[in-house]
Amino acid sequence: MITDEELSAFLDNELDDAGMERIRDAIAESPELAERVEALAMVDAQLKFGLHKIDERPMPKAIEAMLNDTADTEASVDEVSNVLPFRRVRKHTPMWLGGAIAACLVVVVGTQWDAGRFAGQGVTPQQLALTELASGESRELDEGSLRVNLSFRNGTGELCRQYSLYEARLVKEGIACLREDGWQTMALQPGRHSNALEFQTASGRADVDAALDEMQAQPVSLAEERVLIERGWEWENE
Amino acid sequence: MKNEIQALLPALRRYAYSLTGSMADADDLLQSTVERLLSRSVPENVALPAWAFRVCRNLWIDEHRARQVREKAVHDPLLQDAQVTDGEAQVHQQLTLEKVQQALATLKEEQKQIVSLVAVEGMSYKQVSETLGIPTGTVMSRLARARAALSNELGWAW
Repeated sequence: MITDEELSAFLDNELDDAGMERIRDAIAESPELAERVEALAMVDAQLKFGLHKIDERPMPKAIEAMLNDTADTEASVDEVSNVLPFRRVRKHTPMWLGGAIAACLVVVVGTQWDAGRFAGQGVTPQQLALTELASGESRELDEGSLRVNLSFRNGTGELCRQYSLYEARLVKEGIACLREDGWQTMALQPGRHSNALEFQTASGRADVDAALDEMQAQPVSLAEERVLIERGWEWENE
Repeated sequence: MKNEIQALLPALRRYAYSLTGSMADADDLLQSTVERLLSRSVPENVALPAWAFRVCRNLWIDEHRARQVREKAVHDPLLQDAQVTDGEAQVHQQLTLEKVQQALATLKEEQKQIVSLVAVEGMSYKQVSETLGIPTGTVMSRLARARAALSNELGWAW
């Protein structure tokens, strides 16, 4: 009778050779036992995920204020607990990527929401949201809820943000890049049906992945993003 | 799917290493696994991580084991396992920091310590035993109980 203890030790390669072979045999012979091993293996991944999320959360503003010696009177930002920023470190294009941009992402070049910069007149609520929200945060707009997912630089070094628009039961994925006149929508995907449990539909995610790869996206760290937000995304002139 | 697979790679790789016993074979197995995962869709009532581990295991069985030990062998092993799934549909459960914290809260202090040192920090049983001043047998049993309890709480949430 094989115990959890042996299975656990197997996962850590802590059994002697004979012991390891014995468990291998058992795994090969019994799908039920194999599933048990795999469930235990999964725990490690889940724990790491949890700890990683702690590191990714922005520090409370009160703490940063104390250290920066600035009086921060703004109310603390609503921190969305289920933050899933894209963890993408693209060093090269993976071989399995075709290279064709996802057909479903409509490239909307040249569309601007409104002229005008931030904190000024003529700025749309969407532009404001893109300017003020940290990745993972949402804001209710008239047309629905906007949630920023990721900040990144594209292949030409422009700052861009990927966001989701939740309108009723539809989720639209969008990408906007910072130009001289403000945030410009580069791509906006037609709405996909969302279910209450998901922030993004699986197909929506796939399209976004393809578009990000096409744009050679290099993620901006949360720390850098914080600074950018504080500075109002000063447009970086070449 | 690619993001989720990427996040699972370290755990899959360790499993592949336990199965094959060699880093080179493990990486080969891992590559085959990823190729297979990307070329098929996940069956409806299986959580992605469960499916990923299963694909890895079956590829290992078919490619690396000398003897055919699986009964009722069907030509496509992946098809067979789709039928082996238990009847209950596994709803996709989102893993959150809160869920992990709640699950950890159910552990005894000593279990929490050990699971953190081994499962997260990657320390060997010997190292943990020396650090905490307890026998390796105790490390093994506490760790196993911790993993089992956490698995109970978290299931395949991802």
